[in-house]
Amino acid sequence: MRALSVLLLALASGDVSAAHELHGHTLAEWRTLIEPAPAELAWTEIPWRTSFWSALSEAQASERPLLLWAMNGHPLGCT
Amino acid sequence: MVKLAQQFVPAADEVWRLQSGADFDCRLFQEIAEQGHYAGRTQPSATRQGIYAAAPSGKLLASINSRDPKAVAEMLATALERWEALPRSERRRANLPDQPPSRWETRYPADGLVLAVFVRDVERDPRPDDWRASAWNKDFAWFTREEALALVPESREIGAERAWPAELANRLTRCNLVDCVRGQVPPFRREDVELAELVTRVAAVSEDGLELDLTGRTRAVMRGRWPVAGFSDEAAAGEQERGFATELLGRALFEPASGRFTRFELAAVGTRWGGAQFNGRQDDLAEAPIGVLFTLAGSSPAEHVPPAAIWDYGWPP
Repeated sequence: MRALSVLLLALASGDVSAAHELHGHTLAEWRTLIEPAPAELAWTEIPWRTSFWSALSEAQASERPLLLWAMNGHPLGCT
Repeated sequence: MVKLAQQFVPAADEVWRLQSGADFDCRLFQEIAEQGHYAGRTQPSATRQGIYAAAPSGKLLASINSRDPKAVAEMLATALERWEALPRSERRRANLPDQPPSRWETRYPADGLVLAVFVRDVERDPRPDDWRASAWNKDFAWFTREEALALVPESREIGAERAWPAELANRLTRCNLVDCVRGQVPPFRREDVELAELVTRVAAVSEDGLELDLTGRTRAVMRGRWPVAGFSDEAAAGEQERGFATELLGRALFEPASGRFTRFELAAVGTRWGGAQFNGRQDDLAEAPIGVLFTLAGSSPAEHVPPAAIWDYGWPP
């Protein structure tokens, strides 16, 4: 019944995409389930430079200390 | 923590190249790391992962490898005290090269398609009673302009379809549809891909561009002998199988005038099974649901990080 309702709503609105579901959830619902919540991204508030080299050059020029987060895999990507 | 970090020039980087390479920045990192928390360590591994505070000269201020915010904050405070006490003559590095080392970031496809990729366990019940309950990971997927254009139907008529080129569907399956939720995992090999089908279909045409529907199915299975419990079974690797099977659903908006995607959402949902040496699945090897989300990456420098498996893209160096 739920699937039929979604289909009828989609046809009425002319939005073919809205009828699509994957394993019982819409794309929007999957996005909510998978995408990190803002609280999970708090560490991105730090303006990380993406390489040790770029931070080193900047620290040398501005005479500031370096902070390096080094992991197996890039910490801003897949670790 | 953020306020403390702002007193430094903060960088995030991949440790293996830094700890084993010969470029200037690698040698300087090695000099710093050998004053730090893992100095001289070779067992259970020689990794130099961690958080380091240092002067550009190479003088270590403090370091730690911890997920505990309090411990990291204490380390940063200690480092700042030592920086203030460090004579100016010992802060800067003499003879810093002008030219940066060659890195994959220079291949960032600014005129192509750059996707952020999020991977997470979904609909697990019960979940582990620790950090694994909410674990997720992030990666990127890059497409050159030519590759991105090859995803779009040539006809602008509603219903027109285009199957993704086999190489691109295979690459997405090998490199991005992998179980890295709890830690890094090698990409699948080409011969592991049993199914990689993605189709783009024109759903509507508007003044904003082509509204595209994306659908697909993938399956990759790797068999062989490898450890699945980090270093603890490294010397006694057993027969293993790990796999990843998904169905995909998405939508995108393509702007023909610029040849760019201006919106992109693609979900891949299915099952994973088995484990790799460092992806923390030693007690979770049975089939279980998993979800992967592809969205347009942002424009900040932090979104320019290369895909973890860029080496397997087959792009010329």
